[in-house]
Amino acid sequence: MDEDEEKRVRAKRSGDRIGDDVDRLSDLPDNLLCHVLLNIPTKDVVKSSVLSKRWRDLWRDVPGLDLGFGDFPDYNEFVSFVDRFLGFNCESRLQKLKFEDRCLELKYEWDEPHVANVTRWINVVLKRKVQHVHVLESTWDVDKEVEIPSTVYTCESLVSLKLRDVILPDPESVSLPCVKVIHLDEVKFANDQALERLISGCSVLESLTINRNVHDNVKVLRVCSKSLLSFTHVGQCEENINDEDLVVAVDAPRLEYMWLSDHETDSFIISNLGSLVKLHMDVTFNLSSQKRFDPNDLQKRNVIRKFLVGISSVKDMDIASETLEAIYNYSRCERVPLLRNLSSLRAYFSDYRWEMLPVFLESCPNLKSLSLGFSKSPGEQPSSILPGHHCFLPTLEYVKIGKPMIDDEEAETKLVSYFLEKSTVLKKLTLFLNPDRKKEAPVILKKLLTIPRLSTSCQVVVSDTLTL
Amino acid sequence: FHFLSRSQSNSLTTTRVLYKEIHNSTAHYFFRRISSLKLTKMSKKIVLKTSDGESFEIDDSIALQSETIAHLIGDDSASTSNGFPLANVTSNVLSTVIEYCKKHASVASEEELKKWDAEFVKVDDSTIFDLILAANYLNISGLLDLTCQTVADKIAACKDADEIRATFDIENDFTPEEEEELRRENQWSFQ
Repeated sequence: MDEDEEKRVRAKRSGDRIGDDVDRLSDLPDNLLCHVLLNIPTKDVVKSSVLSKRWRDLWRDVPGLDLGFGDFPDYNEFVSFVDRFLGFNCESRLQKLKFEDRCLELKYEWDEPHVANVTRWINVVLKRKVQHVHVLESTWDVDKEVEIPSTVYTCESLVSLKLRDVILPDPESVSLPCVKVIHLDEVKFANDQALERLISGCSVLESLTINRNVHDNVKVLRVCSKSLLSFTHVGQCEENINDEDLVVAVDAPRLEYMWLSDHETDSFIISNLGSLVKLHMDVTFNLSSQKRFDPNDLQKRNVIRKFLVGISSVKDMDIASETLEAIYNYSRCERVPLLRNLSSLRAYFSDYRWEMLPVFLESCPNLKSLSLGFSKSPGEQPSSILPGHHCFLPTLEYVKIGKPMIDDEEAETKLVSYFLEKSTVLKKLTLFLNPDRKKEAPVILKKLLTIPRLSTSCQVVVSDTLTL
Repeated sequence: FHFLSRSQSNSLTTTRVLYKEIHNSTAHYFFRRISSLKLTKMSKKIVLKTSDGESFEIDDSIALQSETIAHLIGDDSASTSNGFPLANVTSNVLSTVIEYCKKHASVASEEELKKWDAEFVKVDDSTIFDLILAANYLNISGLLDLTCQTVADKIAACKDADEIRATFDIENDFTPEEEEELRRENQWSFQ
């Protein structure tokens, strides 16, 4: 508590009421107070019943439930509370149903009843015009996972749907006219079409986040939405053991933001992404040190080329070194399609193989700002990629090099030289140092200033604040 | 800012924690949509009259964020020669509300608006309650959600009932026996 509040508390306890301290919170009308309480977990809302007589029964009128499975001492008490709560004002509108397993350990012996209970509760709230349904399970070695009832597919009031570790059934028809946010975390589907139809059945969908699971029964994920603004796709973490290729196809003309983090999907098919502004790209098209890029694999080359063409309206991009590597290998067979609209790029390297970057930079003819980040990777040898002849960088104005290589000053100097020698209009190059090298800053700066600069007005700065 | 190294994260727990970290640390970079406003080709000026007699002239694009005002504009009988009367809003509060509406009508990224909102609600409790009541009367859903969330956060930050009472000056009118009884009834929530 800050000073003012402490003064008030002391004054209250001594029985001395300061004139203008009115209890405006309790004075709010019921509906507004319930609106406030809707943002607090149910456990805390129930606790508020002891504040004063005005608050004693208010918790029953809050139009929503936000419970964690660990809130109750045992499962049966949890069930009876939820049933009791849903029995209050059973005709009235309920805005929110949120269950979350916040402790990531199996705390209860889940019986068959849990699946039936959740189904029953969801059906009850769907009839009461619920807007937000969040069921976040955390199943560990459980035979029966919760299956969401298919009535969820035709809920006219639903605005946001967030699910984790549950099963979504095959829809007969999908009509979700108000859903704006869908968040699916390791959810299992009946098949490819089920997920595709869910997405297409939401005519005002704005944000879609999918965190994949290797057993989710989806091989080809199609995202077709005329309204979608933001799409986040995090691939499965286990290796794809199936023979079939994994595909993600995106057709979203209004999409502005896309996050792709997936090393198992074989191809990303992009169409109609003319509004794309920002892209976070950490994909490898299922190539790795085990599954090397084969120059004779025309299909893979097609996939990569079409992908780059498809994202070409992007203005701001984050790219991982694994993706750069895939593009670098591709570039040795074919010319990389240009990203004419890209003006800002952040590249993250988990090793010192920054030399893949120049090839990529050549396909960004309008790049203005570049940030490079490195994380220490012990034992990694400097790259086997040929340095080659590097082109000029005629539009680059700002370069930031963050957390550079420790114990490899030569590589660091080489990197800085590359930018200083090739950038014709560079305005500022900033080198960020790790805190333990802070003392060396003036020495390093002096050395960098001796490197010949193509752009005479360029400023070189050595900084110790680690923000990119 | 970090990228997941898939081969390293085999355990379910690690994946989930990392995934959450990644997602929370990145900014959603899409621009604000003003699609809910009924924009006319030429922006008209609307005059609002507060309960304490002051007049405010604002663009209709800003005024229309209030559903109440939107309905008043559509209803010919509502306006007087002095503009639209707002019986429940004082001039102090209305000027703050207009500040909010102006910012949310401008083109700004979601991230920028969130930062602005966080600063906007750093005011004393009395003002927040005034804003809740005004946002409710004027039917401005964004402002109502923001101010209610602010109060909810203050409640949630309190350790126990005593602290909530102290923060909001709530007088405890229970006898110790009554309070004890209540705590027993909902025992699970106090553990």
